Amino acid sequence: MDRAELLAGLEGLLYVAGDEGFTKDELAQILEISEEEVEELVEEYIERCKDTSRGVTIIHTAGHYRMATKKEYIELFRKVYTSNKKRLSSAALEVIAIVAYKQPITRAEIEDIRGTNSENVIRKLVAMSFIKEVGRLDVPGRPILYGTTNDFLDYFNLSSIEELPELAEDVERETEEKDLYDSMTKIKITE
Amino acid sequence: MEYLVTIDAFQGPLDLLLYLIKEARIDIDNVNVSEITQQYLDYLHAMEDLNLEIASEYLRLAAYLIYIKSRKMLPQSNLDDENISYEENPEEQLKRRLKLYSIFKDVVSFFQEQETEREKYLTKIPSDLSEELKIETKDFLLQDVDIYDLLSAYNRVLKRYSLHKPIKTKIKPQTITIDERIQELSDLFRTRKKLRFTEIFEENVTKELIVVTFMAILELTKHHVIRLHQDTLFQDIYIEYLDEEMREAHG
Repeated sequence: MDRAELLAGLEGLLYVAGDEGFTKDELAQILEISEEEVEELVEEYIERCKDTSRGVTIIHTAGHYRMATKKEYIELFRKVYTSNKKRLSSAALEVIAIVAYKQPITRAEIEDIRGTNSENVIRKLVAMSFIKEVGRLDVPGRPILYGTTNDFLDYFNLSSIEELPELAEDVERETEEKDLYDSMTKIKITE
Repeated sequence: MEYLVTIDAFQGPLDLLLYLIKEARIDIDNVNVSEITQQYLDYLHAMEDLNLEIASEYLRLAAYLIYIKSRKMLPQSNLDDENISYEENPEEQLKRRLKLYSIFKDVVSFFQEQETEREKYLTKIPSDLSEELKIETKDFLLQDVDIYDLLSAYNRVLKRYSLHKPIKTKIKPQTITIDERIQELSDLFRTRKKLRFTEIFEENVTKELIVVTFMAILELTKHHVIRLHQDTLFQDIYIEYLDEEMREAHG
């Protein structure tokens, strides 16, 4: 396949897949090219979509390439598509932020940071599949350890967890100290 | 002291304390615990005066603040010396917790921005090609799926289902004025001189239309364009169109 055919193939595949999208690996297999070539191909496609006469582009969230309308024209699309999506509450966002940065983390640790009961918020976030159980802490009671999901990444427009901005130094130091402490004492994650 | 915000606006006692520190425009490191304790208590009292229920966790922090305050007022005994190196100073511990919490509090705005950003990209439901799908459905199940994948799939179905709901729209009932109805009836009488009230209506008749028609007929009768006749109560009304001659006779 030449360049034009590959671009056409990519466009068609992503159109059909809709919000499910395709991973780099899947596209590489279907188009019979390497993953690096897929990356280049997507980049070229996005570049071409920058033309103001184009209404769609490719976004990269939760490790999947997805075809989406361009944000520059959202006001136009909103005329027919009114979003009645409810935004997450501040409490939910706080818990999400803590889990995202400190995963795997138990409910008790989340509540310790927030200084307030977070049981309901956690339950709600699990039901929305933004966070999930990733293991159990090997201490009495075997508390659940929470981590973020792919739905979380997609919802917050992140391709992977590495895209999170770094936290202020203090937390980094905190975490290191804690990790050191944890490794010396109790933590052993069991599946 | 006057407070404009209620306790509901806070995500917990640490949040309230952070708010008070921010209001005082001081750094967490330079916070005078005695002073902020007073403000914190004032706030809780103000809530109490408004008969608002205060969660016990707010009271727990209040007690902790008072503990720190009282500890500072007491001379340090030599007995404590042994423990000092092992135990963190409660004031330092509180400040550390506040700092940690404030860091996460600050990063919330990032998540909010990302949430808004993602909403600007619209995606579509995958095309339904189930009829011509090349891969066997059972091949999908070979993947390593757990209950959370199921939950995620369930949420997607819910989201999609919600898209199937009809778009909100307003339906305005068609209104017709008495004048318009008179015009319509006059046209009708040109072809039929005599008819019954029930004959005037077509299939989809509304209560409003009946009322308007009735009033139009009364109006026409008043002007001697038509003449009404009814045998007995609740029986059909016979309408007779009067031509020029008869109209004069009546007039």
